[in-house]
Amino acid sequence: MRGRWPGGVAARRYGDGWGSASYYRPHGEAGLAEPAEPEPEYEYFGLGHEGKTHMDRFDVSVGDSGQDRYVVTVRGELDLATADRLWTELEPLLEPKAVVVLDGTGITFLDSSGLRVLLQAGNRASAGGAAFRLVAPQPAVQRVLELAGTGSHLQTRETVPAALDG
Amino acid sequence: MQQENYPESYRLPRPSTVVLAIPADREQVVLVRSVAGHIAARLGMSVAELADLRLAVDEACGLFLLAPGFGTAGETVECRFEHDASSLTVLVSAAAPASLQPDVDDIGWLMLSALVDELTWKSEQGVARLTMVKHLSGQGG
Repeated sequence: MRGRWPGGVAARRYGDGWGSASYYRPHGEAGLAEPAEPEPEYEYFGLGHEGKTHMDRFDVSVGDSGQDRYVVTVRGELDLATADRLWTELEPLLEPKAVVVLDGTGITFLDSSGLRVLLQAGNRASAGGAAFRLVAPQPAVQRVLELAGTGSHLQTRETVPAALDG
Repeated sequence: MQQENYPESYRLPRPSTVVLAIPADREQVVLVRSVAGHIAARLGMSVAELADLRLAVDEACGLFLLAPGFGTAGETVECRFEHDASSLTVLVSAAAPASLQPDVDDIGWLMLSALVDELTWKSEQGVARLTMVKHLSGQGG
């Protein structure tokens, strides 16, 4: 079976600026639902750092939820250029008994390199007695999980609170 | 609202070729994805097909850029987008030794083969070429 999506309304570009899949909106018949993924206006977003703002297309931040539970928030594009940056943040957290939740609701693009880091985190957690759970119900991520056939290899949850609970 | 008549600019454009060459640097792949996205929309692809095409060209570039040793000699990766009325062909190529071969068991290759209709790898005379074909579903016009 080919990994195709049935039908689908045509993509149309609105306005000008940075090209991005998230920049294309459906343009078609009434009654069809809008895609349920975040649609930033630009591929890049501003990140404040040491009093300056620079533009980046990827960001990862770690939040401590107490009791060895962490929420790692990833925004933007997780791909062959940025995947290593995620692993750098993720790896130290995957200690025994830790619960690491990856809030990937802001991921706008994911490829096999990014997926490899997610799978690696899952494996490291399983092997070491930690828990790693992914929250990313949007098509940009779900499509990749489907194409790669990850099935039960990754623990996924619908929301961050659910992921923290177990 | 009911489907309007699309303006002339949304009809399938005449057959054409767009070529983009990037340095062998992972950070440059965003440029290829961007070009692919605009071309996909121009050809009347759906939002889903557009996303798939961006992913496919990304994975294709990855086959080169993630190969051990690739990029150390200042290679460029060329991405050629050619379309006609029935299909879009994307050719990704670079100077590479014959030893550079895609790992067909790797998730990158598996995803790529599910994303496009035809996929071939050819290595000859020091150049490796990946050809991907996406059939157009007849939208536009």
